[in-house]
Amino acid sequence: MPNIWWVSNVSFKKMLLRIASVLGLTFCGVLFAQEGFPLKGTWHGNFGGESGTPITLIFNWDGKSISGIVNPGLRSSQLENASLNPSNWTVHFETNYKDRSGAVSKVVVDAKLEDITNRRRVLNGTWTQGDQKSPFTAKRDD
Amino acid sequence: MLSAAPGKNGFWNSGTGGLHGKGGAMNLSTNLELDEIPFQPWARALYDERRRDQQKNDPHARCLPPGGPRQFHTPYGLLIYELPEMQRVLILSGGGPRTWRVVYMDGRPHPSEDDGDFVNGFLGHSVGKWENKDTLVIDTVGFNEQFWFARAGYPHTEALHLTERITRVDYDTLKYEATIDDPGAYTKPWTGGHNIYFVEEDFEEYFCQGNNRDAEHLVGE
Amino acid sequence: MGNALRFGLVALGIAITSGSAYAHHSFAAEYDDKQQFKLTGAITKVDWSNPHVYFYIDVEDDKGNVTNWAMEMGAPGALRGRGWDKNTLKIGEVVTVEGARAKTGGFHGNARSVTLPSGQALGTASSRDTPSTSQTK
Repeated sequence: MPNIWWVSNVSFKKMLLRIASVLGLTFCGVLFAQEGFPLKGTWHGNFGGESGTPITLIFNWDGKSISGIVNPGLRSSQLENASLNPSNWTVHFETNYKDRSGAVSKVVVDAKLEDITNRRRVLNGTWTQGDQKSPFTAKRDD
Repeated sequence: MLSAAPGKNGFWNSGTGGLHGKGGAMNLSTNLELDEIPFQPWARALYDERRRDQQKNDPHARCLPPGGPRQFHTPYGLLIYELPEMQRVLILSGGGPRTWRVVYMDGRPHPSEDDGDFVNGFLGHSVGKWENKDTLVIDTVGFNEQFWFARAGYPHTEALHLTERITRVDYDTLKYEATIDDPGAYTKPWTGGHNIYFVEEDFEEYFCQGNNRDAEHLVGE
Repeated sequence: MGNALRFGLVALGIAITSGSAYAHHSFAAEYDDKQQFKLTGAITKVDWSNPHVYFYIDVEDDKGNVTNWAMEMGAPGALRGRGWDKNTLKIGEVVTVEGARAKTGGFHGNARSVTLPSGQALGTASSRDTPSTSQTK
């Protein structure tokens, strides 16, 4: 691995970031919640199987509803219709996912929360993008 | 008034009693039963999970600090030192990671949690006053979500606003009562508490971090 | 007891709030100053807490692989005097971080400066620049 990594084009990114801010896709977060609402926090995972596409999720809880974003940064999308059913620990959310080519597609995720009392709890389920269904998994960051 | 007489040993024998359930020698007769606690559904389900797996993931077992009522549920003793000349009360734990909590008695308000310099913490920000000359009322906000606020394992969120009432009923008995006001996890505020008894001994040195070998063996069911 | 306790509380307050307080461990024991990095990525998490503030960024390479880097800074009290507060870093914003890599490898570094989307670069009260209690003169 090289010692010096690539340097971004900061000016271009600044422009895109202004766009992201206008769309409300950034927020202040001190998301420390290991022991609060079980989804709250930052999660990393993937869809599409073992060498699938990486995904980052941020969930937040305001006492009434779940909000959050997929892939914070320049291809972020909001979580929509997010819900947690505590009777069976199933989770549902939707998003207008942006892939690396810039294409946007509707995605529906249905998953089950596992190892719930562990601060590194896990979501396992399915990622449905258009008519394609694939495995989805994510683990809460420590 | 809440500590031993000057020159004498003594501490409050913390570690027993709870915030729900009536009866027994410790719990208050005014406590709610478990099914009366106004949990939001996710909070009750999480509480049940923690009971089911024998509380194996309790942060307290990993030497994280005991915030709120948990400080009164931490074994190995509690000291409450009033420092009127400094307008402070200190609550010192003999067990756990040797926690000490400051209660400001100088009339200051809580800082705004939106203030960039305010950091939500394990102990929060506590202000206090005396009620009827015999009850210390402590008002605390600004908790983080990295601990369990009671040994039973009830969940909470950063929205928790805790009010504690501490009364020395007689020399040997402290009545502790907590009101949990957390709209993030409960549908309305609720109150519970217990008694704690005085022991005329001194603390031993106890640092949870010193010889804690349990964490890797906590497997639950 | 009153005077001794009063002195102890004042001393403790100075130690906690001083930006020039000693670090609780040595930089060189944990980080390799010869392995410098400059990374740009989106903030995914901020742990604004003692003893060290940590923030995390997703760094994506040209093939779409994403690594999540943990970046250590100084304590909140030390950062306060350097233009930071808990709201300075926002989840989703893209920042550039310069620093030294952890000796244990992985995706963990000690940040020396952070350039915000505005272009402002802030120092980080890095333990690299803070003497540890293990150092002798």
